[in-house]
Amino acid sequence: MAELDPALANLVTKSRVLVLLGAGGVGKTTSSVALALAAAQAGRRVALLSIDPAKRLAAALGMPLSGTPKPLVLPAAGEFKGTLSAAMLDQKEVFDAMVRRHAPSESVATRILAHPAYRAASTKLSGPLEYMALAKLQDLANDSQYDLVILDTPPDDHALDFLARPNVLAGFADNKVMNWLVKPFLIAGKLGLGRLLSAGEKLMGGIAKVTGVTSLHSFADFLVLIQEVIDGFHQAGEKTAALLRESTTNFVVITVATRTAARSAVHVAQALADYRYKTAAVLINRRLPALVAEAVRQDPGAVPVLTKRLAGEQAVVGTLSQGMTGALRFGLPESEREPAEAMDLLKLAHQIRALS
Amino acid sequence: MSAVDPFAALLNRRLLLVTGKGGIGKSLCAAALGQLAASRGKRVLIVEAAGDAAIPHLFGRKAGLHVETPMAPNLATINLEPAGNFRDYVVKHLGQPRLFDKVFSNRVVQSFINAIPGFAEVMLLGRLFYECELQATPPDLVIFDGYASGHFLSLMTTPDAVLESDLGGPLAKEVTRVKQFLSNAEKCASIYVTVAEELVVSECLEFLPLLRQKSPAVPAALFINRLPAVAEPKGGDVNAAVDYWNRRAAGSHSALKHLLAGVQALAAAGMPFSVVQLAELGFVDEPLPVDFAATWLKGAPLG
Repeated sequence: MAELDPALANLVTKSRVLVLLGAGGVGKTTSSVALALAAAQAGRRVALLSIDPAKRLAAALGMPLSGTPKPLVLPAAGEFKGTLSAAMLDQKEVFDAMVRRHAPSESVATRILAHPAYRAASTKLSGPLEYMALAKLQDLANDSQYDLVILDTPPDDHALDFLARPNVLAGFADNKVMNWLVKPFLIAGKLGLGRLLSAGEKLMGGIAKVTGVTSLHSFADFLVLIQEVIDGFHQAGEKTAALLRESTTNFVVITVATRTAARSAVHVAQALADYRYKTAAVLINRRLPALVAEAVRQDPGAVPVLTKRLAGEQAVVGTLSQGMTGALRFGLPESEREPAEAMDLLKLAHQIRALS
Repeated sequence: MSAVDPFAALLNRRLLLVTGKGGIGKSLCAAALGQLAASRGKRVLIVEAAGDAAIPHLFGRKAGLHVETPMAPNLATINLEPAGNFRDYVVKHLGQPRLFDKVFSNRVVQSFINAIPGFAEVMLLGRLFYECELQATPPDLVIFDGYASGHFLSLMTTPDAVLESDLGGPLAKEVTRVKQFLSNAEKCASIYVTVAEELVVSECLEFLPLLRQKSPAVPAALFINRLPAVAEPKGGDVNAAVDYWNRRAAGSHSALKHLLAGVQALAAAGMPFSVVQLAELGFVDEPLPVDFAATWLKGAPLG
């Protein structure tokens, strides 16, 4: 079997946390599994947290569809020195666990879990997914069974929301929203006061003109109920932000050699820098295989579409090099077969090469 | 007529919502449809709701956030952002500019509003409705370069989620009329973009019935992107590139057969889609040529 690229071997053996980011459809999940297998082969005890692996990929690896990491049975042919456990993020499961952990009492937790606003937030809407991924990441990083955690981020176009998550609740955690806006409004309602007195209450009156009074009451009630949970979420978020800034945490931006994906990759790297997170590497997936590229160069007229693609790829790699200085650059040729089992994915990892 | 012009029925609607798996060519399809409609004299607005907009790059122009910007004759684009959507809702839809200045410019209020589940989604759908139906001189066609499948589905199910929770008042009224508009199959439709690769095809065939069942906007068309034509090596000179291409074409062909059989089964079950097959381009350079839609879409066979 081919050797793992030395620069990549160094990355998977020295990191404690690897976070993979990239636009949708660039092969993040496949790459995360390939890197996890490479790390396990090199002797690390790896926990892989996937968000929404394609069912066939999950089935091929015996990946569990639950939030609890389960050790995978690794093929003997891979001569794995370490281990690999995998979990799939179940948004509602993690959300429920966070509520139980941070609610002041069992009965408050039960009331929160039954509230319509909670049910809407925890299952039907896309926002909290990033939060839950971070909460789970923290749990796995604290677990002494693992020495490397690999996180595959959400599969939508909103990779950047993910980075902003730890800061979103700041306005709630400093209690301005609760003490100044929400609680006086509820008290005024309960005392049956006909008019709203404080500035905060007047603002809530204004909000009600947009949302309706009933819905505002329901939501304000809910916020009071979950106040301590929000504080807990916020503290957990701060800890996670600290974990993400540790020197052994490395971000890997995944992309493909198209204009759109490359632009997104540069954008993500810029945002990572703004948040003071470290982009250790960029991986360019699905490149034209070297043999094919060589044939295209020798006979550009044979398949004009490939000639066009090769020229485009080269231009994009140039753009990426300029836009992401300081990050290692890796390339992975397009595979003609979809990976069907662990060994296929391990072979993918071994085909990753540092670009000169 | 319809055999000659597969796109007329689509372009006669007021709102087209484009979705599909990530990285599959949604923005390219939205841009091409926009270019085609504009070339037929329609005034078109392409809407994005993304951190970094793709549409202006495809037309070689720059555009600010939340500002309608001309891209070509008859064609403009806007990249909506949540805070702007909310301001537009209060100021334009509700006609309450003073309320906005007095209440919603407050940062604490903003963080409160942002936390209401589903609020941002409702505001976005409301903006699409406003652009199509409420503003003084609406464009003939609005194309939403939409989110990837899963995220799109959760956007489209937000009206039901909001209506099922115990909301009342202006917000519920807004949601109700937006949902009514989206449900009007003569005015709105979604377009699903896919490619002919086995895994993607299976995902697509699982997702389409779900979209049909849960989204108020009916999926009306399936665009199959990146279909390779078989290379014809000159004088039998077969090299590694030709080999590679032919193997890809063969794989793509069998996945396409699987997909078309699945689409037929869906049609038999009462879910008809028009199918548009689009050629692999090798690489999409920016900006698009002015006749891009004319060559790419018009060469597209209708399944």
